[in-house]
Amino acid sequence: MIPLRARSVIFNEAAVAAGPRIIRLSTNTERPSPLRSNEAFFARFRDPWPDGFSWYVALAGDSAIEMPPEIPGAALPAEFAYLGDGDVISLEPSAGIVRVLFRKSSSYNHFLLTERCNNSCLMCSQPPRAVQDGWIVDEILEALPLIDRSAAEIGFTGGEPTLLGDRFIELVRATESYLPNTALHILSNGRSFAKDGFAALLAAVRHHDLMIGIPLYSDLPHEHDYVVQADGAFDETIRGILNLKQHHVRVELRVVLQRPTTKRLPDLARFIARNLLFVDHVALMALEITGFAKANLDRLWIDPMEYGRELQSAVGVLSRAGIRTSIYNSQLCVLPKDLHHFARRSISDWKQQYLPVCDQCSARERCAGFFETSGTKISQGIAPIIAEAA
Amino acid sequence: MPVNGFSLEAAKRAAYDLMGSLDVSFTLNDQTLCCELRPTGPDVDAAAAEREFRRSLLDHELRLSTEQRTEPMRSAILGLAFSKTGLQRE
Amino acid sequence: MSRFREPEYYDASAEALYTMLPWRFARLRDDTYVLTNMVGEYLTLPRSELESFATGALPAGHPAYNELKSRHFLFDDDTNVAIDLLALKTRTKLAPLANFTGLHIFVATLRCEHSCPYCQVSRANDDRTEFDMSEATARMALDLVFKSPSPAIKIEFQGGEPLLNLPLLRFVVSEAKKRNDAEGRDLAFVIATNLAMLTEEHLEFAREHDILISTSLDGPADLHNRNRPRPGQDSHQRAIDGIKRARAALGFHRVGALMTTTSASLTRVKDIIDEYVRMDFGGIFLRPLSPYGFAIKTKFYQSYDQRRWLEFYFEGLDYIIELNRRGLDFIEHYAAMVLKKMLTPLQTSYVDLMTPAGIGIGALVYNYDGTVYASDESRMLAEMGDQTFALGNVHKNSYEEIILSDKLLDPIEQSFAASSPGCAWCAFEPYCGSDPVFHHATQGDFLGKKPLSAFCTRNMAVFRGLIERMEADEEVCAIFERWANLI
Repeated sequence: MIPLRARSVIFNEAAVAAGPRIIRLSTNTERPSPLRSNEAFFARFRDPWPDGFSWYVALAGDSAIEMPPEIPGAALPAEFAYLGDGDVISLEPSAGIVRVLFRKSSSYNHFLLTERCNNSCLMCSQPPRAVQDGWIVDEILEALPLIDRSAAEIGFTGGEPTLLGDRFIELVRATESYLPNTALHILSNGRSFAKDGFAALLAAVRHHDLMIGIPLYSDLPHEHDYVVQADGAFDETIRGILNLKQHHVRVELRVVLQRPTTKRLPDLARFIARNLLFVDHVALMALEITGFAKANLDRLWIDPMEYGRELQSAVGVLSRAGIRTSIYNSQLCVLPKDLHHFARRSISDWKQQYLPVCDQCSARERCAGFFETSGTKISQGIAPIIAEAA
Repeated sequence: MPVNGFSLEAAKRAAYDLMGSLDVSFTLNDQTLCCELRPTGPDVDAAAAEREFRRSLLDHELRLSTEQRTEPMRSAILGLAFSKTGLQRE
Repeated sequence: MSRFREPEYYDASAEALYTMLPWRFARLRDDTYVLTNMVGEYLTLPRSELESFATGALPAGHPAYNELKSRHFLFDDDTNVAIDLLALKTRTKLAPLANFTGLHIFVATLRCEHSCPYCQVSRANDDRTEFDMSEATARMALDLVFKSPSPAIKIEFQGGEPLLNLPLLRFVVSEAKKRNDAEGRDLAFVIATNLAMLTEEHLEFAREHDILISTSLDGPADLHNRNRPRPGQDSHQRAIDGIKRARAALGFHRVGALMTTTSASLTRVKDIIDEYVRMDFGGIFLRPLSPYGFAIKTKFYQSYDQRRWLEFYFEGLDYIIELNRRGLDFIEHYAAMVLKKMLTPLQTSYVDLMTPAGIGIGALVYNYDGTVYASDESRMLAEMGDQTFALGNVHKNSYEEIILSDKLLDPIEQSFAASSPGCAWCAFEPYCGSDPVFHHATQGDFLGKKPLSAFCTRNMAVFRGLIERMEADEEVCAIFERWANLI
């Protein structure tokens, strides 16, 4: 588990006076002077502080490190030792808060754009809140120019990012401007794109590497609407997908594998192959037990061993149709062998773990492992894969 | 054979479909449509062909009613399909 | 109170009547019927459920209800996006028509040293060039080729034996490539050759220009040589040698083979397939019997031939399915083209399974003397003395005169399936095609009386046979899906 935020940061007086700050970390004592005035020096070791930085950040408990008192400084809890050069953090001195916005060394960097949503999925890992959180957009716009331009990919999530309307488009445009080599993966229910013109606006940004990930849970409209708890969502989502593809925006379909919908998984695959053949990717995702999923566990949880046949059938239909298909969040030991090459290490590092039993598993390094939130809902079939004797 | 309750259209279609085994001629008396079935050759099983004709009548009646009920949908779908081909000038 | 609603809240189907979308049906076998929608999606139902559905009486809780809803046979108050999706699927099926003619066949010469009895067009093998296409003719033909709007152009050399006129092939390839510099089409070349006289020079030419080879392989040696006599009676050996040499020189996948079905073939389907397996082809096209060249037979002969061919076909198909079950990836191409229409939203470009008819729209033939024919079969018919489908001549007629002539438009219009008796209500129409040339040749009109048509009987039997096999076995569904998406 990698903590991305904390409320127990110790700030000096200069920091409190300076106020909140979004800043990039540097660990380079040879950092050119013109760059130092806009960056924070991050020290994990007992070295003298280099001059010229606008903030100093250390790990608490390292009492030998004396921060220059006249420069804003923060002492982070010890578990933030993972931070490094190029990372971007947000500091709120009056509340003692640090939030990690971007980690240069990680491939899992997502920005939550808003907690508002017009669906209310049974298994939502980020339950919607009707709040005025427009400040988040401002924060991201401030952070984007600080992000390392060699980043391979960043993600936008929510809530429902497109509820931000014009500001959503503004964010996509800013990403294209400041990160011209970085792929952008946006999670959305797609419904806003059913509106005339919105897909065109997004396409007009001409982002060089954009993909919209859109959940679709069933070939039957009422089943999809039930899962997302919104009447008419299926129709709007489909129309949104059609509009996006008409404007040449890449679309990925995401299907969470859960009890209400696993039975018709092959039918959904057939429906996709027949009606949405042009989608760029289909991700079949094992359940993450957090948020609403915890409250609805009884109606959602199904042991992956029980849907192996449906999964094989669905993947067969999709791959024969030439649609790029992946299986996310699934442990290799409970996946049929012929599906292993579709499985991806998809769980973000900051919420991923293995079990003790995995120590003996020969496939551990290739396996997605488990969500930290799996709790007691683990498949009965978890067992180490013993490599065959050479 | 009198074919009460069946439309002329259904009878014509059934006659068309079975022209390989039956020559059918129609007479319309008042409200009764009469179909005369003659096998096309000595190798045709006349009883089986008549059963086939009756079954075909039923099927075609069903088809005609379905076609009528779904015609508006068909027009809407074709209209929508052709409106977006870009082959027509606005 | 739970803030999450139950499934029933979102399921309006129970209260409302459903609305039927356009659909047709045909009897499959006994009490089982197949239902199809406008774009060829299908399912099977017993007669009673079909009637229930047709009369608006199918209950929402019935298992068939959701299958009909998912495949766009009905919709209800839950949703209104079915029409948009059906319109999109319809457009997808029709869209390739706008590309117009992609296949352009150049008859390089009528000279040939084989004397296959089923061939309509070859002349004696001699050095006279009166049956060769001239550069002047080729030039005019190329003018017409590039008038086609198709983004992909395939020029196929036929004959006779086209390799006997290598200079003309060189000329056409060079001229076409030159013109394509400005046009930017996806340009491909194929030579249909018996390979009997393949030289290094031929191979070098083909390699230099990425030309594909299509040859004839009718089966094992005895069958092939019987079908395809030549001096020395060694057609089979030469074909095999030619295939090997062409593969080595051009690349394994650049060499294909086609079989011609004769009455001698009808009892040998496994042997023929085995020959293709032995030669490591990825599949075979079990072609229908051709009515051209054999004089137009009586109805009796045709139906006898059709029955025997269907036995031949299904024996072959079932054998191929068995090979696939045992781990060999091997396609039957006729089924694959039908399955593409049945199982995918896409369309085939096989001329015989197109409606509107594929004549002109799918292919055009430029004969050695400049006569333009609407299809390969149109040329064969002409060689039998019937010029009905001769559209004009490259030396005398413009592109517009040829493409817009009544000789082309009348048969296309009159044979259009959606407005033909029989086809207009046929459940299998989405899988089928219009073949005005065949019907003109066998019945004397473009439309034909479908119940008397060997084309119709054959195709309906194939459609039924494919559906029955898929209904009986999921493994066959997977095999067929693979074929449908590979071609």
